Formats: sequence, C-alpha cells, structure tokens
Amino acid sequence: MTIRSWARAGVFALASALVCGWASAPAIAGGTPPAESEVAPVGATYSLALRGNLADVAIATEGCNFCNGNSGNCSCLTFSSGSSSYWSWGNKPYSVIGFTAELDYFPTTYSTIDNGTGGNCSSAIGEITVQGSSSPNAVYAETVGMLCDAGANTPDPSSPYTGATYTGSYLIEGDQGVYDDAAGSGALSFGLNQSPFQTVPTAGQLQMTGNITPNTGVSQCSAAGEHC
Amino acid sequence: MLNRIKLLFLATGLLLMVVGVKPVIAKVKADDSSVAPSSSTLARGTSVDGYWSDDAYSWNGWITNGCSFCTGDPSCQCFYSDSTNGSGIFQVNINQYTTMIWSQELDYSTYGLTTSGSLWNACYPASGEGEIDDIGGSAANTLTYATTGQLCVTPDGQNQTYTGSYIIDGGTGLYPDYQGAGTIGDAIYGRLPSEVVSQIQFNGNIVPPAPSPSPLPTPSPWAAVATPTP
Repeated sequence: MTIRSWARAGVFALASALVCGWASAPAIAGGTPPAESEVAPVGATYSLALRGNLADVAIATEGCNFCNGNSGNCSCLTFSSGSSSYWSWGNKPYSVIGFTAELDYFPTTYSTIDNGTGGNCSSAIGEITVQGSSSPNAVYAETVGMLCDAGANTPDPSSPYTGATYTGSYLIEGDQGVYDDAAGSGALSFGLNQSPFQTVPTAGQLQMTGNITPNTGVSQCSAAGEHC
Repeated sequence: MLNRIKLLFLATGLLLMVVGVKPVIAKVKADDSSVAPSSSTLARGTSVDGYWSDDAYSWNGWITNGCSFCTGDPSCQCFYSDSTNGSGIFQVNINQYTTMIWSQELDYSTYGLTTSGSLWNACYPASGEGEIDDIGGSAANTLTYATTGQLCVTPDGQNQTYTGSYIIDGGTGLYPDYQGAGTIGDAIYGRLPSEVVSQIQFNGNIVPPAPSPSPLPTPSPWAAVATPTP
C-alpha cells in the first residue's frame, strides 16, 4: 500500500468521523443551542452543569433575606464564585461565569437535627444568581435543601472542625437577557471546609447538575412578588 | 517536504479512524445494549399539566383517596406530573440522547410539616413512585422507581422544589429487572398561566441485576463424616 493510499484512507476516515460522529446534533435534545447572545427556541430543554470554587464566604445574623423575623435563630451564609467557576448547557463548551449565593438556615442546636454522628443538620433556603458569560445575561434560581455537618462536631476548640455539605434542588426563575423567561430544575450542592454551625468557612466547592429551559415563552414575572 | 505532509496526513487519518469509529458504534447500538455492568444515567423532562390532589372527606363521611400511597388520611396530599404535552429525554453514559415518556406521583402529609431555613416556607417529607416508559421509542423498554425526599416551598412562596433520591425497582425490554439509584430534582412552578408546570431531573446510575448467588453446598450429615482411623 502506497503512502498515497494511506492518505486517501485518512481523508475517508476524516469524512466518516465528521459525518457520522461529530456533525450530528441531538435533535431531540433541543438541537444545537443558540449562541448566548441569542434567544433559545421556546420550550427547548438542555442539560446544565455548573461547577465552581467559593470565595468571600461570610455568615451574618442580620439582614438575611429569607429568615427575617426569626430573631436570634437566623443565619445567612453568603459567598461568591472563585476564580475557577464554569458552566455549560446543551453542548456548549464550558465558559467562565460568576455567581453569588445566599443560604439561610437555623444555626442553633435547639432548631437543628442530629446529622447522625453528633453534628448538626438544618433545613436551608436561599438563592443563587449566575452571571452568564455574555453580560447582561443572568440566571436566578431558588433553592431549598439541607445543610449538614459532614461529621461529628465538638465544642472543643482544640478539635479540628469538620466540613459541611448542602444538598438541595434548584428552581430557575429567569432573570436577565436571554434567560429572562428561563426555567429549570436539578441538584444543587456544595461543600464547605468548615462547619457553618461552628465557625465561618473559608473555602468550598459548588455544583449544579440538571436542566435548563432558556426560553419558556412565559414571563417569569407574570405574578406579583416574584423575582424579576 | 511533500513526504512529511503525507506522513502527517496519514497519522491524522489513523488517529481519526481510531477516535471516529467509537461514536458510530455507540449510535448503531442506540445506547441500549451497550449498558455495561454499571452505567451513568441522565434524564430530564418537562410537564405542563401537573396537578395537586388529596384524600378528602366525601359527602357521606368516607374518605376519597385522591392519592395512591397515603390512603385514608385527610392530611395526605400529592402531586402528579407526566410528560404529556411536555418532554422527556433519557441518556445512558455518553450515548446519544433518546426520548422517554415519564410519570410521577409524590405523596406527603401535612402533619409532617417542618420549616425550611425560613419560618415562612414549609417543607414536607415526601415519597412516591414513577415510571419511565417508551425509552428510545420502544414501548417494551420501561423502568419503574420509588423515591423519597423532601418537598419544600421556595423563597417566593409560590413554587416548590422536590429534592430526593430514587431507587430503580423494575424494568423491562432492554432493562429487565435493572437496578440503580440517584437523585431527583423537581421544580414545580405553581403560578405560570393555566396549569402547573414541572421540570424533573434524574442524575444517577443503572446496572443489570446481580446474578443470583449459587446455592450453598448442602452440608453432609454428621454421621457421614468419615470415622478417624485409629
């Protein structure tokens, strides 16, 4: 077989791969997602994956958005995206994004439950806003779940604090730009390097895995009192 | 120089032959028979006609069971959703997406109310069952699952999320008696025009049933044990 024949085989393989392997889009999955500056087809759903490290982690007991009025038993954990935060939906390549989040929970032991190993668990409720890679596109999602110590916490300060995890779901409520009418659901979880029931964590990782309907065709601001 | 270009082209072609053949095989097998000992699964869908029901007292004092699992309990409420007029998409490993038809019922008791992180937004322990049918367009391919989790009112007070786990407890067609587990995330939009809209998401795994263990050897009667030779 000559070099020329091998070269022809290479051309054939390239053509086959393009036709059979890479060029076909998952039509039933909504087709090729539009560019982020374009509005998606009405009702098309796509997979969504977001991951990122956490920065600016803080805990406050005043000014929380969701547990207001629960004086003395309301804490809000806030954080923003670290430098390594990405998302992708549909078959778009991963792109750098930013996010901010707040999670309100009950910090005191009389309103928490045991995590199974002597630590704490608390119901938690909050929100996350993801700044899409093309401003001013943004996605706002509500979340409810459970915030738990990852191990046994002890009041003994000489013992190292364990971390904590949050396990919840997200519900997308549109927000800005091409995501104004967005909806979606899935899992939202994050881990913290220290227990928010004991101290202020300094680092963590967040993950969202689920779906997004970028354009429901129905305004998410159709009723009073909703996030718009 | 020309020979170098040819060699480079040749190497590229060989590489593409190796890489490019795999997706072809995956599609020919239609993401089904390629389900190996354990595979990841992703599924998602939308429902536009979800609705709430409950177990209510009828005019004669009897309780009418509007829910399937928490029967005879006036504190029982439930949420039904399915893909009718909505959508369903199912994927095993990195195979091509296929369609599915899905339905789910989530039951909960208002007696189980707990607060979320806010005193003004409730959570309820919930459980239910669901079906995934017509996977890949074939009515023979089905999966059934049970789920437990927590149904919670979101911060705006009008929507709900369901955060749960599922366990696959049945399957037919390409998934006979398959097993698996994972997470379910539901978004239940209670205020969109006309009807309740729900989005559902499955993240998990699927695996063929483990083979039945071989029967243990029947122990020999003690009397049959050879008598030690003196």
